Amino acid sequence: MNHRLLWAAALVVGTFMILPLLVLVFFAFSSSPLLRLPLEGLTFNWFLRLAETQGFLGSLTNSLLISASVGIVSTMIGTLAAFGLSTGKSRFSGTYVSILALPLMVPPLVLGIAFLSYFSSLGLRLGLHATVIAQVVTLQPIVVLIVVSRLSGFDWAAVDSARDLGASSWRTFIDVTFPIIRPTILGAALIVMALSLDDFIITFFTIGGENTLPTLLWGMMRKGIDPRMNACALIVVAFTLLLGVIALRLTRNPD
Amino acid sequence: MAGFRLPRSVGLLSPSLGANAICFVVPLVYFFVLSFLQVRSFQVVFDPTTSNYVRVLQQYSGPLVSTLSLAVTVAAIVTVIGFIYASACRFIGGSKGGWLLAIAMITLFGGYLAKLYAWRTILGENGILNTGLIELGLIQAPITALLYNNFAVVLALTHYTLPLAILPIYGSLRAIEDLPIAAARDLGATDFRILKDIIVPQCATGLFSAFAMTLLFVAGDAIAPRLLGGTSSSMVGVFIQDQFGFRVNAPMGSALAFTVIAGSAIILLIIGLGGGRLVRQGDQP
Amino acid sequence: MSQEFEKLRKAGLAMSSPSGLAQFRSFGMTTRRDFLRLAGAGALMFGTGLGQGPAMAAETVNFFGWQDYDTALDANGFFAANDIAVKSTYMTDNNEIIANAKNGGIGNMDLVTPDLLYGPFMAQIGLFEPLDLAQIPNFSSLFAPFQAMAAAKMDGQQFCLPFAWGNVVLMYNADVVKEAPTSWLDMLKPEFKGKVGLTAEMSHLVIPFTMAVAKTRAATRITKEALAEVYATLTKIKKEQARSIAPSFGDLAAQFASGEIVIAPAWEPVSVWAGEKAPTLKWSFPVEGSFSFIDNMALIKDAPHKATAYKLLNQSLSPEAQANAANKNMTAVTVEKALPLLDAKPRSLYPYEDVAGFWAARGDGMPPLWPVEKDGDFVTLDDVLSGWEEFLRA
Repeated sequence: MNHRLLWAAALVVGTFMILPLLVLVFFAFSSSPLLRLPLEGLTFNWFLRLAETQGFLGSLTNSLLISASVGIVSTMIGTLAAFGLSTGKSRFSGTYVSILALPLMVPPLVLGIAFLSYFSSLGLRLGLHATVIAQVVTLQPIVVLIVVSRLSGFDWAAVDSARDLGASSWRTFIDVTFPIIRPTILGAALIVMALSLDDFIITFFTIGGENTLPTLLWGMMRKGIDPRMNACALIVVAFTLLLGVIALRLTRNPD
Repeated sequence: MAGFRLPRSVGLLSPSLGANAICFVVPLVYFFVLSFLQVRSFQVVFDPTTSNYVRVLQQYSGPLVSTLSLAVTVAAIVTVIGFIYASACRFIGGSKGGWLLAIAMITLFGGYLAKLYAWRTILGENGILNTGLIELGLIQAPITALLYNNFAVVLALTHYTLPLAILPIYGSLRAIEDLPIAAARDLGATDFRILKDIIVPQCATGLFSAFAMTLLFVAGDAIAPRLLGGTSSSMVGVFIQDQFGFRVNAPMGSALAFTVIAGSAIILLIIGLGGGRLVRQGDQP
Repeated sequence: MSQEFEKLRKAGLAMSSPSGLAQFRSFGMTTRRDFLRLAGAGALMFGTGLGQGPAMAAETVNFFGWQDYDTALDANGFFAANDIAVKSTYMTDNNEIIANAKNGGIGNMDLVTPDLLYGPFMAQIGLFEPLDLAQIPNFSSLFAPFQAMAAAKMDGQQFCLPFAWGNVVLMYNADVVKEAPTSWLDMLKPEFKGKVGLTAEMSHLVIPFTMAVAKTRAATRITKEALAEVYATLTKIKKEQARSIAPSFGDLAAQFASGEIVIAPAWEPVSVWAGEKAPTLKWSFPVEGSFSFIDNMALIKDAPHKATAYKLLNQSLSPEAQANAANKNMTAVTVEKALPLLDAKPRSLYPYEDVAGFWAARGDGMPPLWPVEKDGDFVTLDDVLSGWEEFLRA
């Protein structure tokens, strides 16, 4: 491969990905309430204003709780399913993937309404837990798709030889398979958490008398847009970075 | 061995399929049935008909086509760019590759709304891009064609979905060993042949996953077009909401939704079959 | 923290700090038990969701409505004093009240904030509980026109409590537009090409333009031909003049602020929401007539927390809550006693010197909604909505 060309392309794409985020971060500190140039001065004011916004702390807590629960649960069941699909070597794999991916195909609004009417017909109280269930069902296919991609060309020889040497299937997973695919699983968890943090519609219908950051921000939009939104984004990015670092450290194999 | 594997794979699949079956399939079937019913005086009546679907095709084929073509456009762009970026992560390797991947993962966060508004700050008439270009003397008057059109929507959605797409592609690239590539090169294969015959076929699953995730996200999104699309983009999502809202016609809303599902499924099937053929070609010596 | 957590802690699966994720002992899954621990962590968070709820004592009310209409009710520590916890989800469109209530929200939702144009429709399809005015003594302090407003009642029963209002005015950037526009049709002027703002709020475009194009104040009783003409004009504006269709009035304010648009049908508060650094925003009431929004408090049918909801309904018409709402949201108040408590800015936006006269001039209230069922030659709500969809698709 021509590494220099690849580098150049990666730099261009990387810049494209990171630049809007820099803009976003920059305007969180802008003293003008307008999201436009010229930038007049720098201030921490928006963070204070955000903290004073009624319902912000509750929404932040809700968002983080939901996102962390959805991240953990859907990564676990999605990874299991991906292994089921990949080791089964079944010709039905494709069918299973399509069935699993079905929730992704349904427009979010209909999903939200479907969950709402289903949960209430079952008599299940709405709330954070209902949102977690709804989001796990919706987002776990993403984990399946990602992990299946990783396992598609996976060299099972190492796994088989570990087995032949008498390791239990669990030990094989922990000592052989997991270390190899750890970045993929963590990445899948991050993607699911990011999508969960951004989810507006499914949350909106299932949460029944709570706000998350997206529903709060959308609500605030009736009265205008100001850099509080950027401040909020920055807090979430900082939190998830922290979480990412923790997750990386904790999942590092002890040996 | 096979006899041992089958039940185990079923066991591994069961939490995922179970969650799906219990929480998702039942309401979905309900809304599917509903899509064949009708509403009279704001009440659903049991009078099976296909007229909802006929109306969907008559009245909403325009928005359906534009929604799905936007989705295909973004998915195609994102898959290609994502493949290039993921290749860089994989083949540059080492800590540099790790950093590239980390950048992609960081850009997952920041919030959808905030990202869309960042694009408005960049592309607006008095936005960063226009201001910059004027300062540099490259243009005299601001370019208004940057924002409030499909270009802005495609740009913002590409930006949002790119980090989602990079990971599955990267994952499948990781599975490719260096050895066959080196061997192919020793045998005189060009970069292009290596790409076409070795790399792409082996990461077909990842490319397909990336394409599918992006396509489905965009097809279900109704927010970016509303914030950045100006007056011309009407996504199906908006009409579905109206049917469940003021028009109190859940059957019609369901029919619209299932048409979107069918449309996405057909596109993915075509891409999947096409991709499968590609892989098989690649398998040939 | 919940009992589940205690159990997990005793089992050694988690450390005793209550703050969640980072506290679970190890994610370095080396044994099957570690895997179960992780599962436990997920289950625990899930459990916190289940166990979540306000502190035991407080009476909860589920609120589904506009942001800060809920917090406005908390004037002078009302919630704490009465031990009420308001659990809010914010809406973005009146549509959502129907979508939510119709599909299972009934039984979960208590208070909502419908617009008075759609209120009667929502009452008619059975979403609302009739209000017992004996439990709302503050009702008598509403300005007379709001007490009498026909759209808030159905079959002699009150369904909506007018809470906040404002007008659909023709707003313009006075730094650019030197001569005040006088007609809705001024938006068609060539100098505004690419500078017109629209919002996705259907009635706010269709009703003013019916007044302008069909030249009638009875804007919701028109023929199909008249409606077609109205949409033709709106489509022309959309295609030739408009910059975008804003998803919210806040977004419209942002577009005024950034200079993307210079003229748009808007609400008075938009001039404030655009911010101090924005261009000078002025507005006129076009000669053809204009239209208002009146946001209400309404009680969803079979509301699970009815008694507490009534306390809040009454509170919503107290001078303190009213003034709080106006000062927070820049909307107008519906209660005269709130006037002395208003800040200068929200007070300056509205014709408070003669509220009765203002409403008398517009027929004492909201135009009725377009007929829901077929009514002679008049277009129905469904016709208007189909037309709107065609307008969006055009």
